Amino acid sequence: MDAVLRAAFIYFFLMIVIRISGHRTLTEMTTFDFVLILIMGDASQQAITGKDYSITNAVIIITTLVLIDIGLSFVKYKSKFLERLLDGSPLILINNGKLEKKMMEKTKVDESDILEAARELQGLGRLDQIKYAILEKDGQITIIPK
Amino acid sequence: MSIKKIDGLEIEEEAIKKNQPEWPFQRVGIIVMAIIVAAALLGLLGLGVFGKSIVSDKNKILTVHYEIFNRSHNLTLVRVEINASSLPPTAKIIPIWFNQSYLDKSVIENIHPKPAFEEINANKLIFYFPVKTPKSNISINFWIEPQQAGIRYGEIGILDGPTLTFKQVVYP
Repeated sequence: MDAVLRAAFIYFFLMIVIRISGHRTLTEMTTFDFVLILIMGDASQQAITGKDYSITNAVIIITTLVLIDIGLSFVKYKSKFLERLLDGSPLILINNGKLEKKMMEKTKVDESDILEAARELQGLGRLDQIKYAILEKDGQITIIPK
Repeated sequence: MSIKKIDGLEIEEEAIKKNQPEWPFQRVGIIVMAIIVAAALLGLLGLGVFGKSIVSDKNKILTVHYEIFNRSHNLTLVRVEINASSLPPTAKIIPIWFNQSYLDKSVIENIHPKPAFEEINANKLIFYFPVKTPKSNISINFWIEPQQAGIRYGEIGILDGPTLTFKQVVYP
């Protein structure tokens, strides 16, 4: 029983921590973020499995985590409010060619990040060529050119 | 695999089918996973409240608390309780035995309280526990680590006294 509860607790705890840390943690990983993820993974693994290295325990933990994931995707499909709460929503960084400075500050995205996305995705070289830049739920920046 | 063209989009034919053949299997899989988690929560896969059991002899001299469902290489507690009123007032030592075949597939990691000494006799491993003035019930904890998965039968008894048999399922 405790394997299910521990796996569920760690899942929700990590979900909250990653959600609090903001959009950019998911995709724009620095070296420090990478080390942090490794340490978090190791600590979580120990917290979930404890001293039980049996196959049964592994099956229970994996099944619990997958089931929670399926359950949450179902809940998010049914409730837009919960979807926004759990996944967040897209945020506009450049609106009709105008930089949204406050939003960029809050999301810790600077102009160079937008330019990088513009170069990679659209082959654009200047900010004035961008009509919309949107920080998506998964942390990617989408660029819509003028 | 055939490619279809719909409104200028070239895409595999499978993509526009309303039913994918794997969907019923996915539903069955989710149900199976829910059953596994429910069984784990109930303790049917080991280490849970509902996986515990008690066995006693008819005179309630000897009682054994044990976990029906264990996991291999995980500690399981076997608690032996002896009704002190059933012991003679002059008793200085209580000999508790386990059947050897049960212990062949297990390791006893800890015993509390510690026995004064142990003895192997025929198919039994006997632990001798010293007692001073047995007024209340005596409780002895054996922490046992099963080494193999499968079903196993344990026997516990007081030498020249009652014997109890219990069954345990050890998951891999």
